[in-house]
Amino acid sequence: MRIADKVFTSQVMKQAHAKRTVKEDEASATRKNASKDKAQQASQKAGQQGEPVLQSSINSHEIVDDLIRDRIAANDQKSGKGNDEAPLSAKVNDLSQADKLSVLSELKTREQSLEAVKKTNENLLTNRFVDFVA
Amino acid sequence: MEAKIAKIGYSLKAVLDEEIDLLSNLHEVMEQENRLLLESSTSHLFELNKTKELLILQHSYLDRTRRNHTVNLSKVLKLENSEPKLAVLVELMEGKLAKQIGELQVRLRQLVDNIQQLSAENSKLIECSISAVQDSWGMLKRQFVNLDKSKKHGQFKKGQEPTALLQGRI
Repeated sequence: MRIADKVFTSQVMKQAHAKRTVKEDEASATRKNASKDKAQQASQKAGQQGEPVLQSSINSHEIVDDLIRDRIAANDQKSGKGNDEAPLSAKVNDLSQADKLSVLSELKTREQSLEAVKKTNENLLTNRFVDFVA
Repeated sequence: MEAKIAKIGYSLKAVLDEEIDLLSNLHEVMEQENRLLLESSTSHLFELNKTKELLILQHSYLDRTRRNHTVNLSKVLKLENSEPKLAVLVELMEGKLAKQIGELQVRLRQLVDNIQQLSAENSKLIECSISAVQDSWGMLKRQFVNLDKSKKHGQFKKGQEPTALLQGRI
């Protein structure tokens, strides 16, 4: 992505976040808590069954829904009109090209962050140290 | 010789104490990471990773000192292995110091086990999260492209399709 595009998408994201209302934050928190509860239940269930904790809760649809909802909420706030009744699929029509790029860019950033965490976890403790205390 | 062993032994104990503090912090960070992964909260995850990297770096410096003491102790005890296991050193030492270092070894082993266990669990969660984010990206991109196509009734000039525009910029 070009630097100018990065700056632009970053500005769009900052504006969107700044204009989010408390109500929208609460709605988002409720969704995330529900997601968290589901994740913990899945984790406990998997743990009880002795299976690896693979998260069925980490769902692509939920990630996309959350991103789109946040973006649309920011747009509604900006324009002063809200349409909470409309289904999410219809709301996607309201997104501008910049919003779409911003959402896609945010997903790429998430992926890069996760890759960085993965890399760090590969080198947590040296074998030499593990052997020493074994 | 006994005095020399005790001197190096106490230096080793001091380093092991610090390593326990550091690894306890690392374990705490790993637990937080686990929670964030379960909540799919990636923005905080990156910040937390910086803390984790710092702890790992600090531990690597500390462990270098620990190795120096181990090598010195091995020389004084005239051991063939220059880097013996902590359990071997505990067996060769005597009295209060041996007991104290023995207790530290148990705690360190427990911490290492816990960290490795959490690390394995978090790695699986990270893999799942990466797949989910990649799937989301693909799904969304297809959705946006289809949306643009339907808006323009499928009439695009070559090179100006939404797919091409998106691919060029992301």
